[in-house]
This record gives sequence, structure tokens and C-alpha cells, in this order.
Amino acid sequence: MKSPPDGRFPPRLAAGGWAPLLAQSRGGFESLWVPGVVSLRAGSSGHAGPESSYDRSDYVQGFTTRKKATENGRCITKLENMGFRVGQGLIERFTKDTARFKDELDIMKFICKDFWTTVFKKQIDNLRTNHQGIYVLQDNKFRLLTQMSAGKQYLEHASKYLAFTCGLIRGGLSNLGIKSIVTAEVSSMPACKFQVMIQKL
Amino acid sequence: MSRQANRGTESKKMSSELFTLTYGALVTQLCKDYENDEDVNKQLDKMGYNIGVRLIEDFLARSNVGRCHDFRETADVIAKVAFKMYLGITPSITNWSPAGDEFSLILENNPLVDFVELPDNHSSLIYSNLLCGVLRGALEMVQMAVEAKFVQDTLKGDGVTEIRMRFIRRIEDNLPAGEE
Repeated sequence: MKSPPDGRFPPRLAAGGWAPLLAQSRGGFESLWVPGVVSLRAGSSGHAGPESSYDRSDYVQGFTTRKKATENGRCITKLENMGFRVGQGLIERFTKDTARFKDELDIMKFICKDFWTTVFKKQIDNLRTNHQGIYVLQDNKFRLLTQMSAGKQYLEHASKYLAFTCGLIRGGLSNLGIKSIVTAEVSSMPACKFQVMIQKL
Repeated sequence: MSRQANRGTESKKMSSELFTLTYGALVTQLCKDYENDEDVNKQLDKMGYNIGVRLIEDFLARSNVGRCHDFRETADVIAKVAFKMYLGITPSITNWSPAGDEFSLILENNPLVDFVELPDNHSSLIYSNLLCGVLRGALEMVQMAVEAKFVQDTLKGDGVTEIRMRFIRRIEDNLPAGEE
């Protein structure tokens, strides 16, 4: 996945100004990038090779983990791209009978309610924005994660299950004329958050 | 697309769109990843097989069907229960071989191919080959080795889609000694 043009990750958020947008939102807003969370940013896996005592097994291990990390990154990119294509197709069909959207927020609400309901059979539980192009969509019981949320065992695999959905959101927004970067994070399954950064044209 | 009458069927319709488009994206991705159609077909079959070996468990848990006594009964269960449950269609069973070890599943409309057109340069792509893998994998888990292949496909201009199923042999249980 691309990093934002200014290269800042996490994005600096304006203090205050975050307002819950959906009626049923609850719970406070935590910091966006909790240490130890699974994130979808490519190259964030932190599998650096050992710095000292560079013996062979370390090297091999470092190499294989790194290789695994790139392989994993590639899979995630592919899944994201598949999601993008599907998102484009879906939004086209979902919006053919709807009224024209008023603004960006109106579009985000459509994604959180109608789009999410048709795809995942439930709404997004909490939508927040800083009114500067960043939206956080929180799903407290994300459907693709519920089957593997009994313990922490599969937490490291969660990113693979979220990549497609990130693409779905990005693809949907793209066809509505909004260019964006979508990342996901999970700290306790099955809850997860999708962060949408709108790219101004 | 015809306008849906009520919301209930509409929401069902939507999830079928998600399904169809996602399958389309999967096949498209495989076409990008592999150079020739044969490799894509092989890969789809393999993915289907892996789905099938897991899906049979879900199927048996949900459907409450018991053991089949012959291949005809198996064919019935596949067409009337399994296809109905997972794809929402009921293919018809025809063209039994005299020995009763081969039959055809005729799919009047295949939900996987809504919105799909095959480009000219993919003439040997078997778009829905995943289904064959699923059938093979699922039946293997209930001790039946079968061969499944597409012999007609609406995407290639045929009037219907036909999957030919051939019974190869019964797989003998090799349970560890002392287990029944």
C-alpha cells in the first residue's frame, strides 16, 4: 500500500474536533496507532536482520522471515486490489437508484450504513472524523473476524482478512470520485477499525 | 437487471453480487498471476478442492443428510441439497451412463458467471472450474473418488452449463487400528 504523499505515518491528527457521526456510536476514541496492533501498512513488519553476532542461522532466519514478510505484503496488496475492483463494481450497482450525495460526509455515511449492511449484514458501529479528510470506521464485531476471535492466537493473521475490505472501501469511494488510502487495524478481535484518508486532488 | 419487488429479496440479491464480483476478481487475479489458461484452470481446481474438503463438514452439519447408498442418491443430494444451499440453484441431473457411474449436472444459470464475458485471448479458460474442485474435494472426504469436468459452458456459447461427473472408485477407510 502506498504511504501518504507527505510520508507521515501515523498522520498527525488535529487536536479535538473528532466527533462521533453515527447515531449509535459509543465508547471513547483511543489513539489511532496503538503499539502492537496489526496494521496493513506494507513494510511495517519490523523483521530486520540481526545486527550483531551475524552467524549463519541468524542470517538464514532473518532472510526467511524477511522473505516471508515480503511475500505476505504481496498477498495483501493483491487482496487489496481484488477488493478495490469488487468495491468499484458493487458501489455502481448499489447507488444506481439513490439520490445524489450532498458531500463527502454523506458518501461516508452511505458506506457505513447501506454499503456495510449489504456486504456485512450490519452497520459500522462508529464513524468519526477530524473534518480534515480522515475518517475512522469502527466495527465492533467485524464479520470476517468473528470465527477466529476466540483468543489471541490468530491476531497476526487478521491483516490478511482485512485487506480485501480495505480495498472494497477504497474501490467504492474511488467510483464516487474520492481518492483515498484505507488502512485497517485490530487490537482486540473481532473489533477493528478502518482508517480512510481522503487524498485531495 | 430487473427491479426487485421487495427489500428482502433485494438484500439477498446484493450478496450474490458481492459473491459474483469477488469470484470474478479472483479469476482475474489468477489470470494476471499465471501465464496460460491451463495453469489458471489447474489453480482454480486446486482452490476448489481445498474448499471442498472443508465444505463437506459444514454441509453435513447443516443439511442433516445421512449416508448415501448409491451414486444416484449422491447425485440427488448434490443437486437438490448442496447446490441449493451454497449457490441457490438446483441443477438437473441427466445423461446417466448405462453403468450408473457417470452423470451430468445441468446448470440453467450459473451464478458465478453473471456479468462475465470471456475475452478472446482466454478461450481455453474454464471460468467456473473452482466448482469441479469443490465437488471432487467434498466427495473425496466421504470416501468417493470422482472426476468432475465442464463439458459445456454458457460462457463459451453453449446453451447450458454442464458438469460431467464420473465415479472412479470407493476410497477404503484406512482408520488407525482399534478405531471404528
